[in-house]
Amino acid sequence: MGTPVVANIVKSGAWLYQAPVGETIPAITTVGYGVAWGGNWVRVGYTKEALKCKYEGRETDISVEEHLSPIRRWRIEETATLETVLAELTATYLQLAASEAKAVTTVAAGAGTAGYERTGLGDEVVLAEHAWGFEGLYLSSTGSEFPVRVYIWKGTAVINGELEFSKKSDDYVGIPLQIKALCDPTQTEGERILRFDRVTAAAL
Amino acid sequence: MKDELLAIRNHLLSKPVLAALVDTHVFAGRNVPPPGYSLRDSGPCITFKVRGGLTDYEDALLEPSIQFKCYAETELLAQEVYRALFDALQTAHGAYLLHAQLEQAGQQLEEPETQWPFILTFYKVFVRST
Repeated sequence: MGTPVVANIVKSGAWLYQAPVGETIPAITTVGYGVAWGGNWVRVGYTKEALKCKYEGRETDISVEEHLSPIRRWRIEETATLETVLAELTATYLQLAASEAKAVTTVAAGAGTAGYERTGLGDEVVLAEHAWGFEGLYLSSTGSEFPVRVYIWKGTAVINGELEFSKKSDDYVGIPLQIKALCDPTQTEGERILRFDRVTAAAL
Repeated sequence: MKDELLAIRNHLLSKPVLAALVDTHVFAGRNVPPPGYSLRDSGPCITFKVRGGLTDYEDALLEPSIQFKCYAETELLAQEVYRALFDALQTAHGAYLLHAQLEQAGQQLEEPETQWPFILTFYKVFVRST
């Protein structure tokens, strides 16, 4: 903190990634901006709206008779969410957004038969959990590109709105997606819901 | 970035009714027909150009607003070209376009210098950027 730094102002979109829970996150010191995260991290296609990350905490105030205002405040609940709208309408993304656990059926085209993909929704109480993350761009004062990354260790997704099919609107079909973080007790206290990394300088 | 004007022109020329009216006289990126063009000798034509628009959020789609002018020797023939253009474009999709949507219905006008009648209309077009 202290002297304002213009370069700390970030103007960036974000690429969304997902992986199985427990997947090793990309090494912040070696995996550069725009480089695939590797392992089982999969980029979640095109999005048609900005990605929004929200952290909310609920607090309780401790008051005493001797003073008018609270003398202490505790956090008693917290949530973190990611929201965006997926631009690609596929069975895989529908299933991902609905936290469906069963596999997508994919059948290749054959002689006289079309290829297709299939998924479904309904009557499944268990929500699939995934690791999530996104990457944006931090541009240093010298114009070098470095990644800004946020990881959610464990979260479930929900289709967060309507899929609108219209031939008259000037928009196209998207899958509204909301990812809700879960606490990962295996992580260090203080970052059990998410981690924020920003590369600030290149390796020497 | 894909050549959106080429994509639109290819789409229009692939429509038999429109092609029968204007042949290959679909002039991309122009406000008026090229110098020396004769409606009497060469028949009706269409000029079109981008007048604005944006891309989608990730630049995967180009979403230009296109101005079309349907020229012919007579007002009635210009209207016929306009109707064929509408049939070719309105909610169209295919190898070249993802979607097209009328933004402003045709209005009958006349070029002040040549007195050529034309129908002015506008469409929003969706083209995949790659």
